[in-house]
Amino acid sequence: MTHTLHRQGSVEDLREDYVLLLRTSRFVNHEGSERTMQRIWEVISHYRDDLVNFGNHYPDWGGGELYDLDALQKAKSRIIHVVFRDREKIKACLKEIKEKDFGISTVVSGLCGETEKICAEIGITPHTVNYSLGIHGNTRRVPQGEVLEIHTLCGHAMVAAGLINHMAEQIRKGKTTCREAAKRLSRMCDCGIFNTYRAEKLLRKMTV
Amino acid sequence: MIIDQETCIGCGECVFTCTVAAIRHGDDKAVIDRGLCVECGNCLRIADCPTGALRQDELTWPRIVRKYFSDNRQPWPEELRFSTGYGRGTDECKTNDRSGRFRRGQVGVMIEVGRPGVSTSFRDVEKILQALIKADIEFEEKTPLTALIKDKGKGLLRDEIRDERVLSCIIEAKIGTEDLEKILPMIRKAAAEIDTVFSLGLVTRLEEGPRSPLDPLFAKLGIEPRPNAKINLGLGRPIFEP
Repeated sequence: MTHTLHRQGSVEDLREDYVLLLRTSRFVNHEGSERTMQRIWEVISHYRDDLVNFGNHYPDWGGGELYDLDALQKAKSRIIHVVFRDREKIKACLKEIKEKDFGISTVVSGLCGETEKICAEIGITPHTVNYSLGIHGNTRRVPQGEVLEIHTLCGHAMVAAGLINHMAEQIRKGKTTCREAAKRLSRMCDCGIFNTYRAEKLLRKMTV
Repeated sequence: MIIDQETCIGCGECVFTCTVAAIRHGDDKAVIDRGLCVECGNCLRIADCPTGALRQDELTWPRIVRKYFSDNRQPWPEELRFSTGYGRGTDECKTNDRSGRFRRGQVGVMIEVGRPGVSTSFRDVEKILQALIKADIEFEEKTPLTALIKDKGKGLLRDEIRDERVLSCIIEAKIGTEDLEKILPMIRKAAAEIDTVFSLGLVTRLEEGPRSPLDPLFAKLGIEPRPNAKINLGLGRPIFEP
């Protein structure tokens, strides 16, 4: 799944949008990796106050938060998704993951140049890159501006453009706040990769 | 998905939740365009339908293909399971350090048709497949799309699914780096022939250090990739070499 690859936005916007993805390989280390993934969640919990969003693809749809960081440290996870807004925080987290040498495939989705610098600073040699070459075809049909940026924060395209516009309207009418609206939109993204911080800023831009 | 016209009170709660704008206000009720609906289930999860008028009907083949591709919580049945069992794609670059799926001298081509925010029919997916088939391209065997292919050599999909619509569908292939210059114009040509959009991604193994073997070609063709990318850090063990 190309998932986090095609997030839209300017370089300045993307400076506050890094997604860390860890995944067991379906063909190599799926079995027996349960405890390792829990230990990675333990490391991630050291950055509890710096996390914008997180998840493992098994959300709690019963209401409240989609994910509980304490519960994730005891859960079965094949994948780990974590969103940071601060380059230095993801760097610190990555450094710890590297030092513990968990052996789980690790991907950073974010500004290419900054990610390369982070890797150089902590002694990582990147292995593979997945580039985005943009949107092609009948692009007149694509949502525009901030709506597109918010929409692409969910890799499965579940954050409906109609709901983004509806939320903006509710904000303009004073019925909700940018923060609450961003939180509501994030509930449509099962994987926990939706950057609520960026969404809040974009909603503010849409409604001033 | 269906909206029972007897019990719908027209509150509009569901209208905004639709990922493809298939739900609209009718005269005094919400109505759903079943041709556009991709069965993602978003409306049912998000909208708080006060009367239960919004319901998931029983989906059978071929319509259920919409749900397999659009609702990432819907498992594929065993007999059609060529990939992870859920969703539209595969691990791609995410586990390449361990799987070795993309090696030096190879480029992964990922065409996510319908994304962002437009959706697609399989008729348009087939147009792109047929454009690519003219090149010496190796389609990935283990993807969700594999279940729908009737004739791989001709790039034909099963007849009954062509008019089904999904949120997006990923065509995954692999070529030699030297063939990229030939393939990219074919992809652009296909883009002009479809009534939807696609997001294009390329995967390559990096050289020692962050240097990309695609940089010279990008410079030659005047291609500027997006500033953001997905980078596999090579922390998986045991690492696949070369």
